Amino acid sequence: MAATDLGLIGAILMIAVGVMTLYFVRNNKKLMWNQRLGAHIICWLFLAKGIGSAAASFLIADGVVFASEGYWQFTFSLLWLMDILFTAGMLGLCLVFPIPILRNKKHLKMAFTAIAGFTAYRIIIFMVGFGVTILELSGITYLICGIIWGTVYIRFRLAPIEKRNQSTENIALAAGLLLIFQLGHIWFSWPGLILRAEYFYNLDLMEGISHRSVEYFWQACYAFSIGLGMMLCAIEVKQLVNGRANQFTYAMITYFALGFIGYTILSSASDAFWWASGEQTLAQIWITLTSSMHFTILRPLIGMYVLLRFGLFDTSEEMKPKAKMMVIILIVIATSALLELVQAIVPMNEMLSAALLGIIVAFGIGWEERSFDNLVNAPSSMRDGVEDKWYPHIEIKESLFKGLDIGMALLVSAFLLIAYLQWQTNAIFELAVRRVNGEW
Amino acid sequence: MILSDETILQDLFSEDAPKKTIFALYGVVMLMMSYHALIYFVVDAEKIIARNDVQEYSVDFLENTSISTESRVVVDGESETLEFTADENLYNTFNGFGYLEITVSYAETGGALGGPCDTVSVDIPPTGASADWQHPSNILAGNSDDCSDINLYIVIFQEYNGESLTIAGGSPESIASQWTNNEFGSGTFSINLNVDATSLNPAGPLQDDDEEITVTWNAHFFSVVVEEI
Repeated sequence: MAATDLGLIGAILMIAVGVMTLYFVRNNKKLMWNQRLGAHIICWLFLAKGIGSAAASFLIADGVVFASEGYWQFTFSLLWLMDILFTAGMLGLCLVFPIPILRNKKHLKMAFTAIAGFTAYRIIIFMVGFGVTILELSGITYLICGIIWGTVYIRFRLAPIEKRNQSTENIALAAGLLLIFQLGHIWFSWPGLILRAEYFYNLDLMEGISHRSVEYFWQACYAFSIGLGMMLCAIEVKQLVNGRANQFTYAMITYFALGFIGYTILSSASDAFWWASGEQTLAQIWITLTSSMHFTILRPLIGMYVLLRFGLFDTSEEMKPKAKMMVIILIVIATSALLELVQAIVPMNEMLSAALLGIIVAFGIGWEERSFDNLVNAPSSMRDGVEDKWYPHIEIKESLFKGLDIGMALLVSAFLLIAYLQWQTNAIFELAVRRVNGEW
Repeated sequence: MILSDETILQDLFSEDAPKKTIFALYGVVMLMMSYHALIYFVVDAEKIIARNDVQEYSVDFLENTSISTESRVVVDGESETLEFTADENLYNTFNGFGYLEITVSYAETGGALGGPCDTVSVDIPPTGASADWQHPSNILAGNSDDCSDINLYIVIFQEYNGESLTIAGGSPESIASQWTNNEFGSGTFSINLNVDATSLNPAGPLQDDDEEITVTWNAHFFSVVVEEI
């Protein structure tokens, strides 16, 4: 399976998750303001990343050739703009979920005005020809979200025994899962940072057009994320020893163990960036199975898990069959993609692969049947037994949520138009020429 | 419901918070970022800077021309076709077949001494061989009525014009591979020859009713030489 195929499957999966979850989230009006806002943001994160991943797949399929004409300029621009939207979404999400960092309406207005301003700044920077420069501060989200979710995670995971309860565990788990969602792919490369491996320090962010300053800042954010992950991994190992392991514990240990194994495979590789995946060398197969898999399959699954596990869906009796159907669709896409991935690495007879696909899909659906009820019925509260100070009440009008969805839809449409105009005016080619010529 | 007037920082770092662990987290991330900066700017700085320098290469082409000549007598008002296929050994010797020059020459050989030159027209159909048939520099047809040569030109290897280039980035091997292809020029080229004979005295005994035409095929093969600047 080529990187583009896997990327496209991931894109389809994310767009599907985004559209379907938005439907369920819009119907769930009983949530606290921060959970409801967070749920809406997660849906739009999926949609933005899904469209961006589709654009990235087409860009990679074109061979990332910076020719003076061509469709690649549209896909490049769309990928970049969607990443800006994704960044804005992650910043917004870490401020309100799992606990709101914002304490009153004034805070909320200031924070979201700042995010909107930062997003507008990045869009303008990109449109006036300063894209792929240090001015964009690409990677800053890792720092902000990492600090907030990392602090919240430790604050609640290691709360004093007398204050620990299911809600504090859920808050810590949600923060931890969102950290995996955002930083998981980076944690695979932790030995590369420490052991000065070429595959980490040779990070070429944008196929030769990104300046050294951009790559340094990006790598520095990776170093931050790895430090954060190592600390959390150490905490979780201690929790495992103390008998307090949870889903996050096993996920962290798995990511860091895979990172360690990966070093032996990637240490001789010159590059381990995710879009080098899809080929047949051992290093590239490893990248496909780790960081690319994280981007394309694990992220949508983690996001969906968070939405279901913490009750952000409307899973009332009326909506439950629809929610189940959505989960089945996603499981089928994910399991068939997984088989395609294995088939690309271990070529097999078509009859055999068809039979295996049936078995895996049946297994996937079977897993869903067994676990769906457990998942939605699991204790999802983040509020019971937690001091009220953590959940200040902010009155948000219903119209704001509708406005948010309409605004996001309009923004995505505007991005499509901007990308089209940049393609038609050759703006991206000129940007690439300036970057290649050494202009930052 | 209690509305907290305290800031979130006061709550996060309140007395019952695991402050040591939280500050240890901040310490570890600072340590990692400092370590990365140390490696990036001091320990492996030269290696990283060298990697970011874009190497420039000069690309030169050494040409070799293979000449093949064939003559044919073409009867007035009729058409003859000559064909040309490049020697296969040339493809193994050189990186590519750059372009093909065809020279069509003739002299007034029939009729009365000192009679007017015949009119010769030639054309090369863009079929039968692999070439950059749409290239604007191509000359695929021509004619002559004063016994001057007719020169035709076909670009075979796409984008090839024989001029040296400077390329930034890539490797010598990858650049050379871009200029190596033995598909271009494969097949058979053909040229159609037409003669419109002209006699001084159409009714006399020394009628000019044909002409001998010589076609010279100059196949320009090239070797590519890539060197660091």
